[in-house]
Amino acid sequence: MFDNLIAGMHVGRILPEIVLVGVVLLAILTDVISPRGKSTGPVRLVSLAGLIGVLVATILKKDDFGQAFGGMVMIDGFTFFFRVVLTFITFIIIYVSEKYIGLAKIRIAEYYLMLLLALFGMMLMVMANDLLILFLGIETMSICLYTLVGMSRHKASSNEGALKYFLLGAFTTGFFVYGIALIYGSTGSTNLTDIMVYFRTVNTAMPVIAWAGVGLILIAFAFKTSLVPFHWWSPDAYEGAPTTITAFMSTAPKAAAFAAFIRVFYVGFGDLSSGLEPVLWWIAVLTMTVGNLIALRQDSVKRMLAFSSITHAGYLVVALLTWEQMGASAILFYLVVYAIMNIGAFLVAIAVNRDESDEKGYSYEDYRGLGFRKPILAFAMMIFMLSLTGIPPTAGFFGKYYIFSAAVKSGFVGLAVIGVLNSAVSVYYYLRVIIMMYLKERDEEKEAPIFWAGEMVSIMFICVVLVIVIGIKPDWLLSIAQASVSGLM
Amino acid sequence: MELTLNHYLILSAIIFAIGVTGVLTRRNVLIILMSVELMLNSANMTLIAFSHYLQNIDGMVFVFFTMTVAAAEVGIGLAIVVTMFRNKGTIDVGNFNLLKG
Repeated sequence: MFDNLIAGMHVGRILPEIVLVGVVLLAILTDVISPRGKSTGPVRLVSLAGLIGVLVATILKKDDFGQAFGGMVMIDGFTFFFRVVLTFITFIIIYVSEKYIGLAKIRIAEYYLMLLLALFGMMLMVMANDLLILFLGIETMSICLYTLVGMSRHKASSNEGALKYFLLGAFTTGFFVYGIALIYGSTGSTNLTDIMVYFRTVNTAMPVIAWAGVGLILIAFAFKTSLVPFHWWSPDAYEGAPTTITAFMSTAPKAAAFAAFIRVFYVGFGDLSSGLEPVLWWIAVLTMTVGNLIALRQDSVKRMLAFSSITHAGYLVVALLTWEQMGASAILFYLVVYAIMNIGAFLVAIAVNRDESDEKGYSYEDYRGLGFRKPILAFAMMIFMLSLTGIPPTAGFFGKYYIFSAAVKSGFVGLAVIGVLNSAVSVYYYLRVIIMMYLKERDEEKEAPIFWAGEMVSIMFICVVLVIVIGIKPDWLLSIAQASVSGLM
Repeated sequence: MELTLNHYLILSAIIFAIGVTGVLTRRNVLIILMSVELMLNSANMTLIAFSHYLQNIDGMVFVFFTMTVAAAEVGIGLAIVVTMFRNKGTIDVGNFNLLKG
């Protein structure tokens, strides 16, 4: 009898997660047995090797799709896509960090352990088919991120960012759990498939309580993906965090949150789309516009990138609104492209930054004349900025193109126009970096040495190549994204 | 008078509203944390009330997880508050203005 029970759980389908937990335990053990104060090197190697193991496990299991643990988790092409993307991003961040965390005086093994555990939480989020698992995934990820943001213990800005992030995150948790409770009460289940069946059958007479639940869950997702008007934590957390963590937070957790957003709202609440449309329409418009307008006024490149990441989340909501396969695949495409160009841009920002112990730093002034001083570095930054703006032939152009064409095809012409106008506004602050680099005179007295690390250079190079390659030939990535969402609807 | 599902739901909605108000209006981090706990516990009460009413055990199981997560969250939160206090000597959120839009 027990054999049947265990076989019915399909434990093998979550092999990558099992491997990941094993890696975390191994990394903790490595930390303990290493000589005091010298554990980050070995822990980093264990983590990198372990993440390769996770990737191998993911690829080994790429044909074994279906539900596991009695419908609690769903392993499909969508999960597979995000498992690979998230593992890659975490791998890159761990790979480039070693020298930077020395500079930022946070050379402790917990830095790597928290990244790995955050990855575990994100993996739970992308495969959750039950609100309980989703809740656990979001919390596992968030609790690790609070710690990571506050890693620079002696910097007041890091403390402050962590505290704001934590308070608003905990506040969101309250909304999320209460929303789940109301959904559970009205549908009798926390399973997304059951919720979908319920909404499909009684859609005409939806009780108020179910709508309240859907609204609260929407608020929670808006917080996690930093949509206006729930975006206030993100610039502070992004600026206070060590910059490698900022690069991580603006890519991987955002991708995982959007993945969960898609699954909950396309699968669970798919039949409520007409009711949710006006709300999401306004959220999309506000998120794109407000993020842009505040990014215009920033003097710090790091903070500008933080606000612009709010704008990019707005573009993603435009695609979400289409409620169609095309929109979902555009989101997946954009998330990958955004991860590549954003990680690249943050790495350049780390290299150029004047003084890591400075509370502010990352000023536009640091880029003055960089084009003549370090032509290759400046060229890389130019590519990333052009791609973030969405100028062809870079990958960012196709990311935006797919999103807005999906919106137009679903009849959201007004939204697409607002989106394109916002892209035009964003030209100002992205090009400001390029103007600083190429059109301003060098000021040799104020120049600070460039911070180099071999790992950072190699990742930067790969990012530049990928941005250009995807910009010239985007079809392969799009077809992967399309195949990944095909099982979802 | 017999206690029905509605009584529990209304009570927990009131407690939730008190929690939200507390988070939005109080300046002391510890009080904000307590208000968050109120929000979570009101959600727990809703879950249990529904669980009893629906004769379905899922809601009660969910509450165990919520309590565990809330404990972990408070642990992290207090750690952050302690480092903050060491650096700044205060835990009043009104004084945290280093980072501004």
